[in-house]
Amino acid sequence: MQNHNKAALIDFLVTKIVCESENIRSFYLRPVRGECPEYTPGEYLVFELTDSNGKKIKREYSISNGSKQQLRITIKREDPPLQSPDLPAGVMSEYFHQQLQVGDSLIAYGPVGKFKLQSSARPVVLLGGGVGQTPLLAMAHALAEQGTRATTFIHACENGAVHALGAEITALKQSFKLLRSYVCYANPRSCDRLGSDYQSSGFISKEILQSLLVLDDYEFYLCGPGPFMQAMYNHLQQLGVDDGRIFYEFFGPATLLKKAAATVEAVKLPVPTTAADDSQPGTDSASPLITFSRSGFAVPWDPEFENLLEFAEEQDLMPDFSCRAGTCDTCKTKILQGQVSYPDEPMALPEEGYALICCAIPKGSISIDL
Amino acid sequence: MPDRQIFTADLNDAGLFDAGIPQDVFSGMRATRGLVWTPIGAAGDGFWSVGRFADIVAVSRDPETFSSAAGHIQIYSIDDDALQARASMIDMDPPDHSRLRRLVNPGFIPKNIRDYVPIVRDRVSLLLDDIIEQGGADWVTALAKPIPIGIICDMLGVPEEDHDYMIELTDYLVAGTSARPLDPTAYGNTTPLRLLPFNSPAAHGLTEYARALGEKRRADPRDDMVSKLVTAEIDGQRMSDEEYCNFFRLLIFAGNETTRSAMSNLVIQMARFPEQFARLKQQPELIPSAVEEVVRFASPILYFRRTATRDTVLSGTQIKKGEKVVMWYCSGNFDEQQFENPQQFRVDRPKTVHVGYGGGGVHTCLGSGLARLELKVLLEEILKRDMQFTITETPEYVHSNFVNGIEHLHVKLS
Repeated sequence: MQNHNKAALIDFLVTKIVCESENIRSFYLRPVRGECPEYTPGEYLVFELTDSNGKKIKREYSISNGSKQQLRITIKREDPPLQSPDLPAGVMSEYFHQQLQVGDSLIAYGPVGKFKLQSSARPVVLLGGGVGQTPLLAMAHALAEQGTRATTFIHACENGAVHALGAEITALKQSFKLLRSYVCYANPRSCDRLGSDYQSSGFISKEILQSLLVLDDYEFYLCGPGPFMQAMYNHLQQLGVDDGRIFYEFFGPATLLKKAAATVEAVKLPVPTTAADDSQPGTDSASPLITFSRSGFAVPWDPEFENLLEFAEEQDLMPDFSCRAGTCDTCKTKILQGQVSYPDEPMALPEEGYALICCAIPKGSISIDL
Repeated sequence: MPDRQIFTADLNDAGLFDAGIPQDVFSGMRATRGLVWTPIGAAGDGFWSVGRFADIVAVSRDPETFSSAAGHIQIYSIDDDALQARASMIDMDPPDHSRLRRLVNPGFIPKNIRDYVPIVRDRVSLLLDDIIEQGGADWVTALAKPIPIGIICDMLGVPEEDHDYMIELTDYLVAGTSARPLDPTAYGNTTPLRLLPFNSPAAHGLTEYARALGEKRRADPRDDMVSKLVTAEIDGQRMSDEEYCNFFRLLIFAGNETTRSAMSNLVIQMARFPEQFARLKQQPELIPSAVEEVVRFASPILYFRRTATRDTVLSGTQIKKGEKVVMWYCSGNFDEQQFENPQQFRVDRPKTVHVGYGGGGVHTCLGSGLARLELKVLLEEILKRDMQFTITETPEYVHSNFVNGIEHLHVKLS
């Protein structure tokens, strides 16, 4: 695959459209020139469209699988809500589903994204809600190719009518013996077969997760709509999973996964397995946890961010700043626990116990006064 | 004043900058020990010039000694009532400055400006394709003006049909720095020019425009910065109309004139050093450092002034309380002590702090992230189209010692 400037636009040709379920289709895209850009499973492409009012709209669609020759994106048709049929359907998904034909061209930029399969040796749990499974599918394929990390693919959706790409996972299990899967339908139809199409009905409970996952040092990847994500996150917290092991991306509007006050103690329980120090050379150790003490939540550090200021802003916090270059002290913030380092030295270091967050990154888990 | 080294060139004369940054003048300044003095008139008025990188940083980082509020931030003096009437964030020191910054900061954080990448790309692509079709253009009119104003107007919520009017007003605003007489009644102005920013009647036009837009947004708020400014409260108090209008004017000016000048400079450097830019095709990872180099060479704001709040010493020179201290960014950006071969344009220059966005401290350019983004996307799209520029006429610079603006830059594609 080609080294590619990720911010640049790529011209694609639609080579195949596959109906995956009642409302989900896959689109196979081949670059007009050269090979496909390199991507890390979890990344997405960004598409733009001008709607009938001349307004530009932009949508991100995760890559659900790919090769040097082509990338696949899998898109759900966003119908108007049942209770308000007058509302317009999703403009971009409508375009993909209703208008786009094989042979059409498309422009996208990317692949981009922060939700990525980490390189480590840990076992993996992929937890997807609805069409939120798309980046997880790409991860499953990559893990199969690697063939060394035990993988559990857990999928929740309405029922068999909208269950997409189930056969692909079943087929993948044939070649990747370390892959297990589990499907939960919220409201199975009478023709859906318990035990083969799906394993349980209703929602994925903490007990289901507990029964599926023997004690191990898993990495969890979550993608789905907000309520699904919050529920899964709460279950994992209660099971004592360290925040540093949970990676997630929202399908639809993103919000913060917030800890309920009562469950904070639960995440502090030690993970009953290998600690970060035991990680193999060449693998990533767990992400340090950044606790925003005044705001009352904590998020695993993402090394894609250049500094703690940017990271805090990503969490919708708005610390004071001026220069963003370590020269003005406006962003000086108290460090309550832990230490920071400075990849680019500021002009003058602040006094002990404080950090210039515009140019600091965490040195392990920290708690800061924000 | 026997011990003052009077500088040989008259830095107060805008004509000195008519062909761009007078590099010889500034290398002479940097080679002179201590600071140099430029007298203005006969009554003892004048200013200290700070030309070395390290000295500029020292002044920038010490707003208590070198204030933005104690006097004007441009070289010429203005009365206290004028200072009051035109005050915006850049004429303030902390904590007043910090309070106002807090209002606009959210609009400029990386998380929020990244949404502009596809918008800039779209707008740039359209204009570049037009230029290609015509085989050349006046780069300033065809691209460098409309792109930055388009983006800052989008952020503020100024409708598309008014973008040209904003360009016209900011051009006329800058004309006020040239010491040429302006029509005091232009844009329906009735305020004495001495009370207006840049002594320009365009400031009145911008204020009136801001007021009208502000009223509209107050009645019918949208997701734009003007709506936020007119409804936001600082420490429980709404900004006054005057404060809001000054803010609007500052954002329109700063988000427009400076990036425009960097975009013009980009093409000048591309025409001068095509081999440097050819490298970027193979090594796109060097684009961000190329952008920094463009801004260093552009030095869009030539200087900002501070006023000493107490007697002090800088670079061995005694500065008295109340004296004007002028930081020449266009000199600091070519300081031999800070940059190896500073006159050489290198897309692979190792990361070196420059003063193209200011010398550090609280007044560092709020829009630097946005400017970097706009320049990066522009450069990417130029490279994608393999555009090679030949400059067909001597670039016409804005007649000003404050901005390093370019009025016209005729190019043809080769």
